[in-house]
Amino acid sequence: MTLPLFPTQEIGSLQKPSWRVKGLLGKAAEEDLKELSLWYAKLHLQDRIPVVKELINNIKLEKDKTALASLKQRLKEESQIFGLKFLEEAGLDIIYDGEQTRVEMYEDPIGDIGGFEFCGYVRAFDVMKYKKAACVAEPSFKKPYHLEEFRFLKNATQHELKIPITGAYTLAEWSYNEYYGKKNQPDVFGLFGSEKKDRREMAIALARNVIRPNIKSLVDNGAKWVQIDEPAATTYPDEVGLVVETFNESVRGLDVKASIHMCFSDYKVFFPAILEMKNCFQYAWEFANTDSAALGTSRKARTGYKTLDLFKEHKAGGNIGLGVLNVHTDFIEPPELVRDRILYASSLLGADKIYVNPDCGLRTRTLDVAFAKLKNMVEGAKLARSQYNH
Amino acid sequence: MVEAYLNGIFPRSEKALEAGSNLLKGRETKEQLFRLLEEETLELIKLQQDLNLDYVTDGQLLWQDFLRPIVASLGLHGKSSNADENPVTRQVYTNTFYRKPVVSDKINFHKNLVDERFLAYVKKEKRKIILPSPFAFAYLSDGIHKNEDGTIKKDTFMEVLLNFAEILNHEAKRLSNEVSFIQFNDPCLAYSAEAKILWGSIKDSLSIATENISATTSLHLYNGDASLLLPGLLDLPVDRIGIDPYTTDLRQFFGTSPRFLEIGVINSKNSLVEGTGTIVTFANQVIEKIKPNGLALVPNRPLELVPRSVAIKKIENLAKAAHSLNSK
Repeated sequence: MTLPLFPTQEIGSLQKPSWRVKGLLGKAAEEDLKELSLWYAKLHLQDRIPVVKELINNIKLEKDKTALASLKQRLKEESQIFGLKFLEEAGLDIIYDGEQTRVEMYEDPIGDIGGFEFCGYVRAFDVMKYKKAACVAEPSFKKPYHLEEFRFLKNATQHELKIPITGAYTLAEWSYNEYYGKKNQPDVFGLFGSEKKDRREMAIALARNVIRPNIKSLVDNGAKWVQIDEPAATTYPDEVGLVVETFNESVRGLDVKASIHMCFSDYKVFFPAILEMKNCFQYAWEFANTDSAALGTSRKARTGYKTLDLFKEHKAGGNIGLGVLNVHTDFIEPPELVRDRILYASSLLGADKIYVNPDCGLRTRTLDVAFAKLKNMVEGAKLARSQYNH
Repeated sequence: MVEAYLNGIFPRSEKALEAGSNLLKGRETKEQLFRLLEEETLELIKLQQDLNLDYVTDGQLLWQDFLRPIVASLGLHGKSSNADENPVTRQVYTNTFYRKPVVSDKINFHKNLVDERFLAYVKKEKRKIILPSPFAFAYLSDGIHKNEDGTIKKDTFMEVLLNFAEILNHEAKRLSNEVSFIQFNDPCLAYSAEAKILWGSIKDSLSIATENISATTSLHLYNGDASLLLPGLLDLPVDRIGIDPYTTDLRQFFGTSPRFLEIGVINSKNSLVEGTGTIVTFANQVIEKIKPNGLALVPNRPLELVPRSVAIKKIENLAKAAHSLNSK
């Protein structure tokens, strides 16, 4: 599939529709089915409405555990199709399914990795929460946890697929470290630096024992592009080298396009360590979050994109996944604003290096808002493209 | 006498976290979540009293992040119309985020920074409140005192730093007759590359913030190696200095002039619950080697990073350890 200039791509999760969430619990109500009908009409999926409604109804009635699990799996697959179609209809070039089968980017993989036990929920931001686990033994590979999902999607679309996979460093940083913590327990004066040492051991073990085997299984089954998500990458400015090391270990020797997504970070700390990342195809970062909403391609108008200077300054290779949608507001960026953000970035780094995406996953927004934002993103990319075609 | 107390945002319960998720999905109202958090605050106050902790806080359960209520009170909204729309920014060393304050002019005191409704539930001699330090506020905000690349403009930075210190002092004086302890939290001084260059102004800012305050004051440092700020660290004009031994090399405090230290002997970044014996050992090692002229056992940083059930186990052991040390 040939991609246009300024290809548009999704970057992470979408909100899960209520018919999917409540349907799996056997609690879908009339209003959820109404939402289903509205969205399916919008996405030209009308012919699937009876199938999905029947599934939802059967989940409510089914008593047999095995049969129920099978019905739930089929409903999840329907939501995968919904996610794919949502992004296709919005007009994106590179898609996935909005992570419809995953609970959340941390909880989902951790549940399928050996050596971890869940401890409970903590708050990440405002009212956002996530379930944290403790590493209680050396991390080990249990199964290729994204393979089933990928196989299903590969057969369901002609679009280029980019598979998001949570990176080893983020999994390590977001986990409690009981195993290595206990193993290396010091006196009070030895606490200094002990966490770093323990975290390093866990992150390397995760990259080697878990992430690389997972990516390998995807590649062996036809995956062409994996996006390693490392939102925790700048948690400790002096550990960026470890992020790079785990990235390199995760894709070592594998024939795959590998990119990295990071967000809400102090990007200065990545340089120059990031230059050591081997064959990183694309750096997808958040920018719109700190940008002005004013139109214009001047430096003054594009306050949120100053980080791009670092790529130029350091002559970094690889492409940029340019965040042009703020995922923390309902403001629908007009196409002209998206266009100007793209044009500004391409004037700095060259048009052929720019891919266009939301800052991060749009699951923070309602489906209506996410769809409107994505449609405008696609329109904005078209406007930017037209400037180059003239 | 070895003291023990909390020092920052306490985790919300799973019920409150679920209510937060429901709020996001439009299935719960802000008022319902607020009421739940009020109830949990009272439970937390009772827990601290039952454990006989030396000071009692409200756990800042109503704070969205460690700056937001202050930002909202001061109207530091930048381009947006409210503090809930300022840019989302990671708090380094954690997977938590804050909305970055935007300083576009001189800051004026509009209204009270701290909601003191919970003070009534605590005896005056045990009441403690927590505020961000002047440096943390200036360093973590954006605006007139920062360059385009986020680095500081030295002169304007010092103005904002001292301006915010005055605001804090205004609030501290207002509360000084109501509370016994005012703690300033600083998650960035220990790692900031600019701290040494700005040291004189940082010291001045704390002098201003604590001027004419009768309450005990402390500066709790976490994130980064605070020993790099020695020896000046021990001259700062606060009554107590709080240190995170997981990020600070405590050995550098051997032979320094004695100060009242708060040592973070329970780790807010790990679910592993420190045993009472371990905490007692840690405390005795500090007493023997550093010889502080006062010691408080505290979490190394706000406990918000562990689930509430784990946090409760940790502070129960903290309280037991202090009791054990004091009974000998």
